Amino acid sequence: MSAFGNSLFPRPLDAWRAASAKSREQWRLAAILVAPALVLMGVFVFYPALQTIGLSFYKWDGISPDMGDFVGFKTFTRATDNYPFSQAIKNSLLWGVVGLFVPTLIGLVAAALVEDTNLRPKPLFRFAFFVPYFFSMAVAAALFTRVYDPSYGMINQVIHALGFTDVKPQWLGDGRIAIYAAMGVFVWHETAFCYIVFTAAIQQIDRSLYDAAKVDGASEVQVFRYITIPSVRDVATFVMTIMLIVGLTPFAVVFPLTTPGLGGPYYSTEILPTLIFKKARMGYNASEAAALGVILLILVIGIVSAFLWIRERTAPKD
Amino acid sequence: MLSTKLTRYALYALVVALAIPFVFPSLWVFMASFSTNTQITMDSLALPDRLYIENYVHAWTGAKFSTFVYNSLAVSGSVTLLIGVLATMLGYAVARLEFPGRRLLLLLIMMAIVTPVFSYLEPLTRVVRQLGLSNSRTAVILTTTATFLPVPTLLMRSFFLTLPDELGDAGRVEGASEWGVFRYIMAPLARSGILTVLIFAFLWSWNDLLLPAVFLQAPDKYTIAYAITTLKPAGFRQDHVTMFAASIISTGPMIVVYLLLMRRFIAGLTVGGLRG
Repeated sequence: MSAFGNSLFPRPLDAWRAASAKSREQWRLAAILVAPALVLMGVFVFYPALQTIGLSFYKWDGISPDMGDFVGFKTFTRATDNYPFSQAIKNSLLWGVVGLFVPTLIGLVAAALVEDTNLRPKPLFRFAFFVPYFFSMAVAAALFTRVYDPSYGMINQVIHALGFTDVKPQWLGDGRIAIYAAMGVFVWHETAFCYIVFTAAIQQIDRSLYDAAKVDGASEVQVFRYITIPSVRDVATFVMTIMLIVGLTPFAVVFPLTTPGLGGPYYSTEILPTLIFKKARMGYNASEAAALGVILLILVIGIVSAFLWIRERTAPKD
Repeated sequence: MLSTKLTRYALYALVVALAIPFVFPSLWVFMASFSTNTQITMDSLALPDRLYIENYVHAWTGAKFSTFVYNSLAVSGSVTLLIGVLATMLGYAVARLEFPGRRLLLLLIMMAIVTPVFSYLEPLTRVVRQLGLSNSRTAVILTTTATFLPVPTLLMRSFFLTLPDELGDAGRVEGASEWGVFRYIMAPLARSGILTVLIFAFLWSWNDLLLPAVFLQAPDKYTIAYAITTLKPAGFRQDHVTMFAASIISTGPMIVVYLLLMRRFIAGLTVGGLRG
């Protein structure tokens, strides 16, 4: 640990004296290259991120000139001891699981089906799976308020056209299914991202592996299981990490789908980011927004680290 | 022979079945953007009796989407330029230069990636207010650049790491300064990485909802993605077609990227981002 600590916090002056002309020149260049980015991130990322931790221990509305009283963990208790919060945590966790497995799995299977078989025309299929990504997540969500509309919306019109004239789910208006409808938009949009990354990864796999497997008489499923999946393992870790982070904070889906007047009845689609947004922007409750921010931070870092640790431990050794 | 043919048909059926849920809503939106509100309310699956191009004209002029597109171009253009320059500089420094505090810097960048903006949203709005940037496109540009920067930086870092050491040393032997090595040898070799970063940065900022929603109050400053989410069903007179047309307009940059750069885009993504 101490060796690590020393290299992490070196003593600048001693090191400068001992350094060669080449490394001094490198230091100067590094200072010039790093400074603008560091200033920008310092002001707009690191400084507010540190502040949020301090702020969460005070009782403050975000408007009054003075910060209010230091109340310790009371802000956390007040921010978490209510129904919207427990809904938000439940939905966020469920959404994380869905994000981790659903778009990644569909994207991988679709990419393998298109790239590893002799289906034609490939560009058409690639285009088809990529189409949702032409829209941004927020625009996709805004569009799905129309797709999900109970009367004229695409889904219920299709259900109607198929002959089920008395089935009219209120996709966003029914508290029991609204959250799954919202996740549907997420899966619809993010599968395209997973698909395109897996497509790139599969195209990089050495074709001779497939030819060898074919000579040995392997079936399509076996090829997928024993060649494709192990070959894209690192890419899958990358994609799943992104999906996990996005899945834990799908603000761009929930906000356009469920702001006043539409869907999300009785906090059924509440997630931590929407709670934070409301408290920070509309509810004038800076401290509680900060406390929820700290909770979200711990949740995301904890879950992502745990996931990466598991991936590391289960990695095949070779 | 029969069985291979059957497998082939089964595969086709499987891929088509898998693709339908992804294609169909987009097709529906595309079709409805040329329809009328009355038609959509009555039977939204039916083709319109003619192409109502005027929906696009109305979205562009009447619903002021020309303004929103201009705002988005200004914001995304600035963000792209800033991120392209800053990520190349920072990425090169952490990849190829030896300097004290490099590992700490790398650690900070990693931490910034896993820290969601939501966790410091409130203090961030206060910083913006204190700088006098409330309700300005500048606020969106600066916060977007700062919060997006870590990922492109790591992308550029892995690009620079793939370049062989000998190139820089050869330059130094020839008398190039460290700046010269960066500017005239390494940076030009990382062109495809920079291109990937530029594309990513443009699409991200074009598509972002949160920061425009937080920092822009005046509707004439809205970006296109944010403006579309504000076009919600309100009351009984719902203007569906304008929203559909505006959504199709918003896909412009993505379609350009797809058509022109798809091959290089995928190649760059794979080389830089995923092998690192």
